[in-house]
Amino acid sequence: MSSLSVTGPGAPGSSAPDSEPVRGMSPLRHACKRFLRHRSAVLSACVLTLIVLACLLGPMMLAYDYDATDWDNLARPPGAVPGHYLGTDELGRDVLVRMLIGARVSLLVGVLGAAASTLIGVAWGATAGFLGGRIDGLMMRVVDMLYAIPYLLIAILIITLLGREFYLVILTITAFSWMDMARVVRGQTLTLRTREFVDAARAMGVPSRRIITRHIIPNLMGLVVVYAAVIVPAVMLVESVLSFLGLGVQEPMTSLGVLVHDGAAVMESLPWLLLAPGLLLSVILLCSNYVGDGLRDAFDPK
Amino acid sequence: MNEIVLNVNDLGVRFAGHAGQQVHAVDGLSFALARGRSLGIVGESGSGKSQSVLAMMRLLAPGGQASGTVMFGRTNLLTLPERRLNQLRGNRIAMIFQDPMTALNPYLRVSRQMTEVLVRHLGLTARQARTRAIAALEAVRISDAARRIDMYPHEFSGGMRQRVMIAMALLCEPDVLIADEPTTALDVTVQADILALLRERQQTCGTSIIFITHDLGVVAELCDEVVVMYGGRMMEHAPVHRLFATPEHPYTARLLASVPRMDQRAARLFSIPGQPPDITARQHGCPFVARCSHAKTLCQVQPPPYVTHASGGLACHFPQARSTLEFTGT
Amino acid sequence: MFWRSLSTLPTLWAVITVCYLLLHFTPGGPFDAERAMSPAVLANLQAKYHLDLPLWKQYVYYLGNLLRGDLGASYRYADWSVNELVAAAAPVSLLIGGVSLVLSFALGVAAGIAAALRRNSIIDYGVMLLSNIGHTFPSFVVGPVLIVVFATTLGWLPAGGLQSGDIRYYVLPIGLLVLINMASISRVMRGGLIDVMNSPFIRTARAKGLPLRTIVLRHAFKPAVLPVVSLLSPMAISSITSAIVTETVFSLPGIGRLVVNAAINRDYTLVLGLVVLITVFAVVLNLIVDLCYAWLDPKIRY
Repeated sequence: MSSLSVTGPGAPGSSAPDSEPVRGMSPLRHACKRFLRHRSAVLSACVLTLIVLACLLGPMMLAYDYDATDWDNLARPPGAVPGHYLGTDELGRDVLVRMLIGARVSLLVGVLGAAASTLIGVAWGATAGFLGGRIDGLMMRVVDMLYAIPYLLIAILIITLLGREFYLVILTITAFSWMDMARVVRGQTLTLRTREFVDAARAMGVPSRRIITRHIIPNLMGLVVVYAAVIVPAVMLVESVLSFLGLGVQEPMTSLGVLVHDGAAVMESLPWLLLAPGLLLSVILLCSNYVGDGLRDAFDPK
Repeated sequence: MNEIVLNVNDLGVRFAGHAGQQVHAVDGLSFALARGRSLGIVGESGSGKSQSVLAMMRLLAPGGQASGTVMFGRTNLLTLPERRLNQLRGNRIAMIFQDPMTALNPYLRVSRQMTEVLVRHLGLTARQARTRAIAALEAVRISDAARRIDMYPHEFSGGMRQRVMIAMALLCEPDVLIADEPTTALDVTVQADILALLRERQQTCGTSIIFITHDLGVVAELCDEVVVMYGGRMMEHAPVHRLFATPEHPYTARLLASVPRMDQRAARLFSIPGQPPDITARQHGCPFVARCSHAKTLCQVQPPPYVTHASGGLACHFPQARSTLEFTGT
Repeated sequence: MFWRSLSTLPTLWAVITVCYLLLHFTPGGPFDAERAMSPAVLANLQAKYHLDLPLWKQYVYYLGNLLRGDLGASYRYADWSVNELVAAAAPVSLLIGGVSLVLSFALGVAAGIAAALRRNSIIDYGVMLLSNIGHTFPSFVVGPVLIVVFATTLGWLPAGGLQSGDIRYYVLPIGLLVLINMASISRVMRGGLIDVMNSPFIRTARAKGLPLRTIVLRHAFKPAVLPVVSLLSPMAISSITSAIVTETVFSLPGIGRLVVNAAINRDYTLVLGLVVLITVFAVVLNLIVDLCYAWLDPKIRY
């Protein structure tokens, strides 16, 4: 997607009025229309919205707390006991509520991690692409180096050493999730750099940093949105893997990964403890993938 | 020998368009190619000339449907089972393409691409095939052929690549060689070389040639007869000398007139006004009607039937032998 | 090619140094003087890491040890050095990882070719469906599900662990890895082959009267498989990650599980040694794949 650089009156106070791109509704509307044409993407978006709503509102509406023990109903399968729609675990806790809370945490990690990765990735990529030359080469070498390292390993090392605080988990995951965004942003910046409005801004004496923030970055928005949407499930996946290995978020917090870990331990006798959160996680990831595909096609049809 | 090698009858090619309609890229092409003769098919872009020969070789893009008959000897190429067709392609009928860079496989050595034809069709051993291939390269005047043959296509220059293509196509000494704009992507001096090569082949081995081009100069130099296509249809078919001297179809006349001539001073260059027809739109009447200065009402409602006569054929409601000089100076 | 190999050294060095420094500067880490440990372990650590010397000298000794192939001493196990633990666990991981990579490549390529040549047929839809499943469902969900189905319910295969010589213990882990890897390989192969088959030079090959099998295997295969080969590099890296998860799911005594257990037990030095080892492995793997790529494509020659 290239925004239509329509020359028009710039925002007041802008230092380069001729080159301020006027982003009208058309590119966005076009993108929306294209997105709506993908049935699977639209369906997935609806499902995801439902899930998010359920996570946020569900636990308040259900009878049980996520850590409340129902002594009369330990380890009951789904449907066996009215009120426990998905059964209980071996400690008598309601599975459905725990699932929704876990999904909440997983989604939170996903969104926070994606936000952080996006920030770092955009800053890194835009700077590298804009400055070009040796600095660009150096910055991209760092990216290549990071790609070569198996991230899970380093994540394990860091968590082993520094503990399992929530923010540490997010930081660790972020440290290895920003590279894709940086690469893509750099590519797009390289293309944008040669466009005329950048020359115009330069000719008016706008300093580089300002050109990056006020001209280049707004034009990257479409691309960034698409990739940010794709990073969320990736971060969720990493968090789930870490949790599954016993290295993710700590008690009393629980995430879908932790629930799968707990469920796997008793899967032979209480399979629903594994299948329910596993299925929910898979559905979230699947829908995110379809939405990501749809967004990618909406903003950049080939 | 006036034996007919290839007999094309009412060849049509259609594609399914975006909105589900049928696009007729070629409609009603017919000609008979005799042994040792070369036929030029001339037309603008979009006239259907490439599609027609692709259809003959069954190389249409997916979605393309060919109709009519293409008789090679007693077999109809269009209905032949794939296995039998493969025995003819590359063997008795060969084809060379426009852009030699993309037409040769960049991942295989030239030796491989050439010897496989000989091994497959003539059953030669690898060594025999290699010797023949080197000889073929030398015949198209590629120097140092024994060393060059082991190179990759991107290590050759454009003209040399096209010569490799020609050598490859002629390896099995086919009866028919179809050349789809082989010189369009090359410069003029190389072009002359290639044409000389083809003419020599035609004369010494009696290979029949179908030559697709939009360049009339090439036609004049190489071809014995010419088919003029427009909008997917045949407009005129004539021996080359007659076509150039007294074209009967208005389109042919204008085409010839738009070639700048060295022996006449003209105030401005002549070109045919208008655009080639949109073949996705339904056509009524003659496809040339929008740009023809002699068009009458009949031309707009009824497509002119193709009528064969002594030295060829014509599709025009109001033919007259015209001199091309009529148009210069307009 | 020589320079290319050399260029991987900075990455290695950076990783090793960062990990080492992390280890030293972590509060409560292994080299903290207040830490109480058994005298046997302390003696080992002293010998290997020269804890009484200034930091930079320790570091030099450490690098020297690494170059000699000595990965250090365990923080928890007094009797075993890291090298010995690795030697016991490595064969399992290498066997399972190697076999599954080879199988996934072979099966993935075959499936991709079959799908590409019979587009929109049942084969095509089947391959794409399997690909979607393998791609989106996380391995630590599919793994336990496979165990529940094949081990618990059907009883055909063991649920985990390893008994040397008994091939049944290898089926599920290798099967899981193959399914995951095949997903991307078959999809990329299919796409690559479809693209190549539309190339002009394939048309020339058809015009030469070559049968389809020859065209696919001799003319189309090399360029079509190139994107798959470029996929192998990240896949080899991620197979390390996959090994960690798979060995945890199926309780296999490989390097992956060694890392996880070391992390959970807070065996810092063991984790460090393993991280270094695996990073070296990853970087070397990367290099090998790059070289293969150059060999396949005659236009790229370093």
